Amino acid sequence: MAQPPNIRGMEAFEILRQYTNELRDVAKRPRSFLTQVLNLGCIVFSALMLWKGLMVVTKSESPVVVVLSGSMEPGLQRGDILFLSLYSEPFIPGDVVVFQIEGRDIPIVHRIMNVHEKDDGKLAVLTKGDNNTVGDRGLYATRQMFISRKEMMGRAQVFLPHAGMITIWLNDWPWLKYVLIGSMGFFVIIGRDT
Amino acid sequence: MELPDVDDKKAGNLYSKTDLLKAASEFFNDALPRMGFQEDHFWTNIRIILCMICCSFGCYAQFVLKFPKDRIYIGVCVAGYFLFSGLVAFIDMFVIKTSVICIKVSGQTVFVDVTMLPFSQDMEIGLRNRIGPKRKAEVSYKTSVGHYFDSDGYLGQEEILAEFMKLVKKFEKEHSKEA
Repeated sequence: MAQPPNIRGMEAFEILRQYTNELRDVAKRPRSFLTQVLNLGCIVFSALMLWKGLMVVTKSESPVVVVLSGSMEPGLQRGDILFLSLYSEPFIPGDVVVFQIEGRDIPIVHRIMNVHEKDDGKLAVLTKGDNNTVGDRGLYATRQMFISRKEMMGRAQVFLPHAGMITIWLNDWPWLKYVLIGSMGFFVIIGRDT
Repeated sequence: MELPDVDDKKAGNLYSKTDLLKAASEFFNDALPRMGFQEDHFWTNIRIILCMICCSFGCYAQFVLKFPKDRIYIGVCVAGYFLFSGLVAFIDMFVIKTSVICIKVSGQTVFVDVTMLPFSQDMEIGLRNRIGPKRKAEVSYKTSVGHYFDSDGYLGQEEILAEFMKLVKKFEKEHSKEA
């Protein structure tokens, strides 16, 4: 039998009051509060340091990316996770690369069509999505014909199919990100992290 | 035995191991110092210092160093972070374990452990002491949580304290035998 709204509201209020009291109790004991804050800090920094560690090992500024569009179908689908690296091997046509045009927020995952290397080592690369009919010059900056090495974020090495759908949902509904992370942080502080 | 003046502790959910352990832990943290048991903060201080070092490495690598210019230094900070984080994990796993408070009993550092196995109705309270590799004394008492909590979730402070004091006496007896 469904509960009336006023009883559900009272239960929610009771739970909120309980959590507020728990937070107040934790704050009364400074050592315990400091320990919980440091625990939360260590949890956050574990994720950040793992990311930094991947950056150091792969030499790429963004070692893991999620495919956001269908421009590389059927090889890469929306929601696939790509692991990138930026080692010193030369870029060759056929490589799947991730690049970010200056001034644009979102990096692009496409395939290299042409590579031109000048005598001074400067690279000029033309890319195209597998599922697109034309090259990427329309995506580049105004009057930009090719992309250079500094715009390259990495070369795709491994991909995990559909593992990044959660990232897409969090991007589509940003409030969900704040709710999830905020509530996890709150529960760690009041000692309910087990 | 006089009960110290401690607020009532209530477990929000009698079926939640987290809530039950939290209520017991808060009681011991409030009551034992008021009863005259001296707290030993050595291992918790060590843990706090190690966590602060970890967070310092993390902050420095995240906010000060720039990639790719400081790639090597970032690598050093990452390695340092995980090294100290590993030490914290080692202390948590092998020293602190399920301890809720560390006190002095008969001049010895004693960890008060409160544990509940998953899907079990029994709560175990234990006193654990390690003084080097050879000398070790552990006493514990396990009983149903219904012995300590009433149906509304309130912790029976007299009951849990009575069992705790019995354990202290047993511990002191074991310790004097070893000595």
